[in-house]
Amino acid sequence: MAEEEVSKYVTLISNDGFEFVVLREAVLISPMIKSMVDAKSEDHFPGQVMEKVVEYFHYWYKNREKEDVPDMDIPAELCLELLVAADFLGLDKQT
Amino acid sequence: MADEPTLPPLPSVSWDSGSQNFTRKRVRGASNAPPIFSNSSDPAIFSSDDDPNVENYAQGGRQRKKRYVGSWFQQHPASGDSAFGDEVRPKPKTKRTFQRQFDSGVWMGSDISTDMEEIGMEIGLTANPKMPQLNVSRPVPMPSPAEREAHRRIIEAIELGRENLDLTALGLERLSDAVLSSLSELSCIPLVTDGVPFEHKDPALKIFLSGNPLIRAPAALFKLEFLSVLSLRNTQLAELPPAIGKLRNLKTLNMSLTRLRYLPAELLDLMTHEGKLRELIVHPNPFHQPDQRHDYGTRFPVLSEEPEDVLLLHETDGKKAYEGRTIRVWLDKDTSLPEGKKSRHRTSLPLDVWQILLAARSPVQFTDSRGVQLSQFTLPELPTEDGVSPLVVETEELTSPPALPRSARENNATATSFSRVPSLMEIALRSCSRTVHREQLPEYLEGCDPHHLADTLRDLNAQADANGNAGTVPCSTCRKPVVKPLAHWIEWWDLGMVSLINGVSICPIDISELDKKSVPFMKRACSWGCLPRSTPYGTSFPGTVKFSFAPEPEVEES
Repeated sequence: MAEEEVSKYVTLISNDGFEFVVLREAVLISPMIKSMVDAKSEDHFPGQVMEKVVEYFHYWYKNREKEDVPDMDIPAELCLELLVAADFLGLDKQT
Repeated sequence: MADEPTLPPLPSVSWDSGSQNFTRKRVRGASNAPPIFSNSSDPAIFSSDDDPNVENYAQGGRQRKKRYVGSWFQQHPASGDSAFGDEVRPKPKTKRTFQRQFDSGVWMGSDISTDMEEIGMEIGLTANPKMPQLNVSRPVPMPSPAEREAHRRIIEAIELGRENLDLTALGLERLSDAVLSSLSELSCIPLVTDGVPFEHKDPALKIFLSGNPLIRAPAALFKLEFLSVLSLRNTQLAELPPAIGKLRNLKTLNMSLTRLRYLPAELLDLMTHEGKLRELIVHPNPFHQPDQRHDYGTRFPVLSEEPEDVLLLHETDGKKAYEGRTIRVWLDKDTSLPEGKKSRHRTSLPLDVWQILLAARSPVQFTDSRGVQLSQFTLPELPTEDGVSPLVVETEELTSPPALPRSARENNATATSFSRVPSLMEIALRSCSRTVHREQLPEYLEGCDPHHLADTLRDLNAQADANGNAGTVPCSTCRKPVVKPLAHWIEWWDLGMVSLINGVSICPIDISELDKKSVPFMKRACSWGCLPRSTPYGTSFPGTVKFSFAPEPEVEES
């Protein structure tokens, strides 16, 4: 997990080397990443899972104040991986 | 016959299936070898009529055909054929050298010995598979005699087109969905007589399951679109699944004498002016009771001014119908009737309409998407044994928003500040619920690190089995399907039936009976943005008709 001190963005690196630049405000809904932002650590997910997690961060950020939230689709082959990822990142709480 | 082309020699080594090795001795009789090694075709018997040499027939004065046994490359004359002596047989060589043998091409391009080794390895693997195997052998319960009798009656009803299905007091403990779901194919046999036009009639199914020790309602019941009467009286049901809300044609529901502690909130939707449910028998049941109740005064509030945004359905036409006052029947505009039905004095109004008024609400039980509880308040667990005494449940002030869990209060959150975005876990669970492998998913996660995830997926399967769907339940506020609701609460609603007799007068129910009519309904929210709002006591359920006294002095309109 790389981090730039004052930047608006946070770079998440998957375990197979993909880098995702994500809005810091969106990423901080995960208590796990919140604690990881300061300490440098490796991420455990492959790129395609990380891509969906990052998609969720932006989906949350875009819709957090909307009354009518569109559905986000997760392909069936990734549903178990994302279940484990959501559990690890603590993304199971009301926001 | 000397011109016969020479045949390729036999291989000097052969595979011995017993020792799994190559032997110098040729194995006679391929029956010992596994079928994969043996030539799949039978040994051919050739006729040599294609060689019309007279010697073939003239030798020894015997008119016999030469017969050859074996495949084309190693054929030799049939041993019983004495017409050919040893001089025709290929002489066995004293010393054979190993020689590659090309066959019909099935194994072409590879050495015979490596082929054999690979096959041997594969066969060893199939005995002990290394790939993870799903345990698909589940115990299939044999239908009990009572269930077989029920199946017989269901099939009889389908064959005869009978709408009444009497399954009372058969001693049924469970009823499989497979046979029950075939009832959706039931169609009425129309009456064919003179003067009656032939028309298609949707069946109005009536299913009586009363008097059976049923533990849960068969999920296939909730898929029977044309179910109009359902009796689950005197059963051992502990919970009625939310899927009951799908029975849009239900007119009568009898749920008395069960173990129900509360009803699903979806049942209320069937009681609005669009629903058809007119008869609901839910007493006696060990329902949860509110610890206190508010007197919300008269059930017929006085409208202070002429209502603007309402649809007036009916007025008592100046007759002093109730306490000497004119009573109005009206609907909110947002729950309005379809176009064309809007008339000031409706005559097509159903004769009996529900009046549903909010009496009390329990505090909200908050959970996260894993099902871990976050709030101090806990809704009472469903008792496992036969508890018949009603439990008293804590209530909360209706006119204030629900109390939030401590973690949210510390963040200075208010009930309106929560987003409605589902958690990533909830989105993943919805995706899991849609896969075809939903039932096997807990086994995939068995033994994995976060072991509670397998439990979460098992809950999903149980929810799917109870509701007869993919495992989602509707949110009580926004109606979106949700796998793990983040909040649960109980609302007590006073149910009363008001009869409009001949469309001109109103015969309200006895108000003194109201205390007994308060019925708990379980509600759930997909997110904390869908929590109950603060409402005054006695609010009528959205979509039900409202009654009020006309303002004084009476406004007479033609």
